Amino acid sequence: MKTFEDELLAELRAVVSEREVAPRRSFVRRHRVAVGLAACATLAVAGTVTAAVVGGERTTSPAYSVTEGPDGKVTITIYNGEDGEGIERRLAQAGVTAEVTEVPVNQSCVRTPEGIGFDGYWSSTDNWDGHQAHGHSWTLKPADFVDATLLIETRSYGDRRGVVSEFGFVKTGSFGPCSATE
Amino acid sequence: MTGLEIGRDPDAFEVFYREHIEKVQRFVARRVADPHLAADLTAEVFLAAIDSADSYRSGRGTPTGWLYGVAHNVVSAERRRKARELRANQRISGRRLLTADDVTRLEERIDAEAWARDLLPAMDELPPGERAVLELVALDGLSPQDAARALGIRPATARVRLHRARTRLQTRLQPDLAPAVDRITIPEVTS
Repeated sequence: MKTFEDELLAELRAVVSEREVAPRRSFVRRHRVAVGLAACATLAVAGTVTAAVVGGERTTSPAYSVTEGPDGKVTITIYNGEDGEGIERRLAQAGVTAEVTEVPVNQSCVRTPEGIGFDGYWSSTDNWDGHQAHGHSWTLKPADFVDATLLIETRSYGDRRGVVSEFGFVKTGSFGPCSATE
Repeated sequence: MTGLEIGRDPDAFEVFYREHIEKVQRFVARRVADPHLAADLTAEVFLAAIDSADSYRSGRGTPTGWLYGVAHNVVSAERRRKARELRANQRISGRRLLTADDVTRLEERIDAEAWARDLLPAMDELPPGERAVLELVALDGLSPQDAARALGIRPATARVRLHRARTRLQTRLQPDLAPAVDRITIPEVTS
């Protein structure tokens, strides 16, 4: 008598076999900042030179800052979730495709399909140093985002003291829009 | 082993599956007490591994560590949504494959991992990033470096998160969870 493990293996082998004979999938991906990325091809070259001079300079938005370092890394700091489109545009200029979604407190994004990939991890930071007003910073390598979209979920609380953000990297497959759910 | 092979070669996948099925089942049992949901999630972990196999790079850790990262994603996704939504979108229903004997066997495995599930409530207030590292280290026995690879983060980041998680558990601990948390073994974190 076959066990669960045997039956599951048979079904999974069938899935792999279908992929074996199917043409490689052409992944559909949301590129909300596709225009920005196209423009970025030119900016990236100029940015490499400029960053060496102005690396560490902070943008003036009260909602976020993005700094391109001389080592090619990009540091983003989010102070609140009020300017998601601005964050997307600025990250696109830095070579990072991003999608920012403000999610109601105590709700989560559900995406169908989810687009789980190797680097599809979720991470977050919070007020670990006791200074919410300082925002939350991450340092990224644009080279990691050639085939990926950075998903940023922000949850801003009423007093605007800070924002809790979750990052995810979706490197394979397609993913649907954020549907906020409890 | 390359990811491309397990995603497109059934024989390579079978070798990979046989090597990892018990590890995945134990991983799930440390987090889920319902054998039917455990079966669904086990199927989902391997489906996600097949889907994302192309992205595996041997230089970024072992296949087992990579699979733990995939399993973490799947179980975390399950926590964020309702079980019925998982089933509605599943290509393989794990629970449909279960016999009565299978359920009994899974329940025994789940009972054996009860110690781990006792620890989960203590981690509920941790930020997801810290919780992910802590789970892989304290529940699954990965080193901080392997946990970092599984999650796709830098080892230094994993160590910082582990340190913060430990501090939070010590300072915000609910008294009734103290005995369970005392059993958490966390390697010393050095900066």
